Amino acid sequence: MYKMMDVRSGWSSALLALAITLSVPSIALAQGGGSEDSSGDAQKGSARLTKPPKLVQAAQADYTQEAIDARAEGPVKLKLTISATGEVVKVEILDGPGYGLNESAARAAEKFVFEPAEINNVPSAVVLDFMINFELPILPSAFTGKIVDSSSGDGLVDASVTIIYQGEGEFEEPPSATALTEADGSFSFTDVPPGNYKVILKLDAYRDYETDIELVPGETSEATYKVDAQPVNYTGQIREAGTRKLLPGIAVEVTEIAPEKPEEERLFRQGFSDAEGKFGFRGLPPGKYRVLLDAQGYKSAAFVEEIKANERLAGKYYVEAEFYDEYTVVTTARRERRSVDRQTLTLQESRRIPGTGGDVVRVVQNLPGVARAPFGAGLLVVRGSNPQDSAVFLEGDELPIVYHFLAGPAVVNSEMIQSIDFYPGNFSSKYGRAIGGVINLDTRSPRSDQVHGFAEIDIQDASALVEVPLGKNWSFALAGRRSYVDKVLEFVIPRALPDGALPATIAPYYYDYQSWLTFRGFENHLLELFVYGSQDRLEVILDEPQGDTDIQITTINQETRFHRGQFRWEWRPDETISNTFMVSGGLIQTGFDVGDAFGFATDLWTINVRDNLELKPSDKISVRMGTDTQFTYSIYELTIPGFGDAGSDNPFSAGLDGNGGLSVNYPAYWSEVAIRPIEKLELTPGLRIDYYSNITRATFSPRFSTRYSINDKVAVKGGIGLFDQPPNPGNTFENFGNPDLLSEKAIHYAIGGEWRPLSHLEFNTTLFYRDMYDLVNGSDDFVVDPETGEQEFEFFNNDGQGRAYGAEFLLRHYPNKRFFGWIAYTLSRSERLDLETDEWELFGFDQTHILTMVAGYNLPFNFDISARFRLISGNPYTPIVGSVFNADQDSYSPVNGDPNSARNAPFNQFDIRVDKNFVFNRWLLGVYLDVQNIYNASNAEGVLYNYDYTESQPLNGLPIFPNLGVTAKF
Amino acid sequence: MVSKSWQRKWWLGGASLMMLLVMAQYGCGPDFSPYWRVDKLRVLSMKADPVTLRPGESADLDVLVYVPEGEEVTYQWDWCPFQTSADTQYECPVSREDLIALLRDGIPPEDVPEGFDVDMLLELLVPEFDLGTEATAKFPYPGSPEFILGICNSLQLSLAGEDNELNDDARVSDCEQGYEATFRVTLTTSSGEEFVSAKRILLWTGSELEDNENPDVNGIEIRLQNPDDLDKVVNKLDWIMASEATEERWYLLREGESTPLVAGVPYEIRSRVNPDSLQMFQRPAPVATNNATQSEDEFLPPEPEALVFRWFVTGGDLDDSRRIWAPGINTIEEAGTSVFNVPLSQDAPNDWDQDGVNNSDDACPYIANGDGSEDACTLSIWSVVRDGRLGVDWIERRVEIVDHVE
Repeated sequence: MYKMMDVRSGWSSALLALAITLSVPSIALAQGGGSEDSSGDAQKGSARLTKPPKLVQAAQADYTQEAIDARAEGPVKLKLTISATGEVVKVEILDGPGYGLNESAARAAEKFVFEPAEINNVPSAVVLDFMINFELPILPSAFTGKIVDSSSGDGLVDASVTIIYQGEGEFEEPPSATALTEADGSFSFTDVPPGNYKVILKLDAYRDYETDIELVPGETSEATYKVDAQPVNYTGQIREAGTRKLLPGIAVEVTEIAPEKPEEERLFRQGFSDAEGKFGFRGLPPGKYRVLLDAQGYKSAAFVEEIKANERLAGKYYVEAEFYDEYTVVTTARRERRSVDRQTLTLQESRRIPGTGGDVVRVVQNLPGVARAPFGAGLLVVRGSNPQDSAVFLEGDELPIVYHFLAGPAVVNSEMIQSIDFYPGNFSSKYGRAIGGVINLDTRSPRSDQVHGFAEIDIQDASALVEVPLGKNWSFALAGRRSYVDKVLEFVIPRALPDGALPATIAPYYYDYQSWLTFRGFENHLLELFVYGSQDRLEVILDEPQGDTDIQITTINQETRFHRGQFRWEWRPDETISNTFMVSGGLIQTGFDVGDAFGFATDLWTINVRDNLELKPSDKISVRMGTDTQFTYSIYELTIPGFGDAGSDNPFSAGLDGNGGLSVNYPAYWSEVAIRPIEKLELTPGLRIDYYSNITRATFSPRFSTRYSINDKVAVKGGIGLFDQPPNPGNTFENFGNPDLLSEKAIHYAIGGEWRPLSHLEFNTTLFYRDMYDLVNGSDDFVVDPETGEQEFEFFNNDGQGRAYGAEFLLRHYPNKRFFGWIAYTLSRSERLDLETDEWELFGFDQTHILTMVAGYNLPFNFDISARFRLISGNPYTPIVGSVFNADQDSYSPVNGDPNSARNAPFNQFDIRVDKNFVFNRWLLGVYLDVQNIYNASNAEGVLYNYDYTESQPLNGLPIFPNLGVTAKF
Repeated sequence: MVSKSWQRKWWLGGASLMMLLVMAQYGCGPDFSPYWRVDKLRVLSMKADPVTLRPGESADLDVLVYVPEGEEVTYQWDWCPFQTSADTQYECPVSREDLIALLRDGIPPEDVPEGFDVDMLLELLVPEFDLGTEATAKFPYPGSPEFILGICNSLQLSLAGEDNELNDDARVSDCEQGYEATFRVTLTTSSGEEFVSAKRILLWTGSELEDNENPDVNGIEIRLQNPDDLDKVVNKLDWIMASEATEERWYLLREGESTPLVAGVPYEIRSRVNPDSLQMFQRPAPVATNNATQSEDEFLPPEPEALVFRWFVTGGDLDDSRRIWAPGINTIEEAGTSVFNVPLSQDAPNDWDQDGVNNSDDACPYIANGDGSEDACTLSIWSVVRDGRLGVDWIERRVEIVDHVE
């Protein structure tokens, strides 16, 4: 609103202040007591008015509200009697408009002071007529309106509206005013002197517009003006350089390049890119312009463009991010915590951790509760459990293998992994058949905006990924990886070693592939088909037959491969219900052969069916339930030659030969209820029921967890639950197993707390205890079958027991302001019961102290640096205290000391990774150097002995190991 | 049937194997003295003759020991009626008295001859465990096959009990194919250090299969690995022309005296095994797994036994010190051949054996002995041949490094 005059406040009193006029001289001599007409007579007689009275002090006559309301005005005629001293001694109202104005005028007149009149030069009292004129003020006008686009009708913001007074002679300079339109295109002028005005409208990209308007006093005039847009003659689209990501909200400033003009006169326009990164300017006059693109998190970019008459310029612009942590592209919000123990990793902080080869799944090995795997192997030793006690799921479907061999990467391309949930214990009833920990990988859907690709090459393998949108509702992705260690060895070994120094030809290789197909065509539904597989194969050809007289080994082949498909259907109609159905299946093939004499091959067909239903009838309760059923059928072939002598202790001394098939089914049902009796407390009881057909037993696993939020930053948590897993079906065979085995079990206890002093900083601690029992234990005892009375080899029993306990601490800085990192420390002890001595002995992977520090920082110039330091107790081992010579084997046999009574020296290693990104408009080229064990620490992974165990030296792990890799991404 | 966890184990096993191979390939191995280099008191082999002991027979027990000069050892032989464990240093888990007590209830009264009681009978049947302190020993067949079968069957029943203290140490399975006993020799040095070695012997219990016999190693042959080296040694080795005169250039190392060699030239050495000592044998038919059909035959068809050739030397270098001969894979001549060499260090031309003693002051500058005054140029070479069925034989020859070639 524009206010043209400052008259509104107290306007009535101002008008009254000087509304006094003397009437035409009409004075009567007071002593004459004459009439109104006596003045003339007095002048004519001896009394002659020699000096008229002169008003020297006036008083204000107030306008009455009654008169104002009635718009009453006009003169009030008074008859005043003025004394010889000039005072008004009498006031008579002769005439007036009324409405209180007459009285107001009289009251004012009584306060007048005059210079006395003189008659015959003598001050004298006189009577005179006096008139006070009341006039209403001129009321201001108001003018409001709206400027709209003529075609769309949309209000136009920041349009300039100027009004110029068109009257003549009333003002020395014609009043004018200018206002800018609001966001809805509206404008307003108030307190405008009434009259005729010219209205001038100006707005960038619109044609100028002029019109006239008459503003009536005291009234508000309204008008809507439709203005015509000038044609758009400059458009552009902005993407992030390298990733081609569309960038909304980028400020676009266009400044005319005209050195001859003062800076303030150069044309300047500003706009912002829309959700699709697009911007446009209308009606830019021909000429050269400087285009400046600017946004937080991106480097400012300037361009020079030339606008030509009657031409439209369309530009594509790429702006470079301040830093490229390319994996920030995919992040997941931190989800609500339900589990007692869960750590969620995102690509943002996982891909650059040194020593992981960029493999996000391997990063789990750096979290609390996970023991270090020797030689960088892909073992998951979680809270003192055996590696095979933990399970890794891909969207709920258990992965046959997680990592490739040779400390290789995970079998699923990290580029497509969205997040990793790691549960070191006390996991949901949703997961079963594991007594250790659980990892669940969530993959993302292929991107549907445009074609994307990724490729990576390092010294170990090469991988590639392409994502393709297929129409509006479909998207597709295909990824693959192949190692070339075999080719590298083929090239390196002849050059590195003297001829014949290596008595074998070694050819290891692996590959994996994945493909995704996503359909989003139905509202609230997501359909995904995921096909994936991998192969790990090791071939060794020995120059000289090895083995013994029973088995001669000339070749060793070991192979694991699988091909699986997974169909997933997610249905989320609203917040109160969701359902995910998943069916997966495939073939897992395992083979191992040592020449023709020894061989083992299996084909394992599996079908997994999962359905997860979640109901949330209120904020206080959430019900989750589902089925988790696994059907397997395996075919195996087995050839084990006889070894040992007739009558020896080996139950297979005669060898094994055969083939067969076996069907094993594991149906399961699970449910859990999350209850919030009060806002801060969540109780989650759960139950899982499993059936294991190979031992014809059902198990019930109750679980409970709770979480109490003391405030927004602090929470405590706890849980207890029973977890079990079936014995390996191979252990339950009639012929060479024990069909009477029970499932292996563990009770998990955990209590802990979380403190999040900042949104990106969290401290987490957990105390845990794990009681493991009914563990399957290899047995070389003979037992008597109670039914047949015959003696038989036991092979396996459930006598194994274990326990693990400890404390975990995690200080985690989530990715924020270029930095991420965490410090994880675990203090723990894991033991197994020695069935011979009935004493607890250390578990082979027990590591008392596990300290892992990880940090990453985005440096300038698109350099990123990250580091990892680990200080970890050495693994226990059983010392060898002597040896005896076994003449039949032509070798020495060790005499062992107390089991696991010695430890390797503490492990310490510092790894550094440096990434450099080269940013091109349409793609990113990345180069990284990942150096493990940068100060070449000698870390013992075991003990090497000489042939008779009289000498020993540490078996050291990986020396300094640089890995150079190149990535390309678009 | 295989489960995922089972597959993981295989996978991990393969990965571990791979890791070890990779480490080996990059030369990460330790700097230990190799198995074949005999440089301290060692038991190299043990032999029982015959391998399968029949009733009424006695086995000659022998041990191949290398005793360094100046060292004295004593022997202690004993046997045990079980397969004993290395974890207990092959200590017999029971005493003779315990064994007799264990067997007492297993002998039916009607089997006890008139005039004997069970204890008297067992005292006669069970030999003393102590077999003497000589360098060799004799072991008589204990009792009769029926007695051995009785021991075997009683032991099986006893082992089936859960609380049997023998469970973890003693093993028996198929009594019909024989019963394995263990004999042990303990060498004690003057300083009290003990060296324990053990070997099994099969006590015949009525098997109709042919008894195994020890292989017969009757000589070690030698020749230049590279015939082009002939000119270098022709004037230094008195036997070389005789060797070259034969079709395959092999020369039999002399028995009872040292055969001269020169350092710096590689030789092939070959263990000569009497072909008549090689036997055919039959393996038991493999156990059929769940769906496989168990063979009706108790034994597989006869097949030739395989041999393992093992070489030991007290100095010099050996390639392929352990080779396997198995029909169809290689020939017995190939498997019995190794390469022997006494290298001269080119890095230390004044101290070829790099023992810290200058060549001019070293009584044997070719072989490291750390003592220039010791005449250690005479080396022992042993060939030990095993048939993998408890049969073994060995032979020792001596060579003397008399010169070298540049």
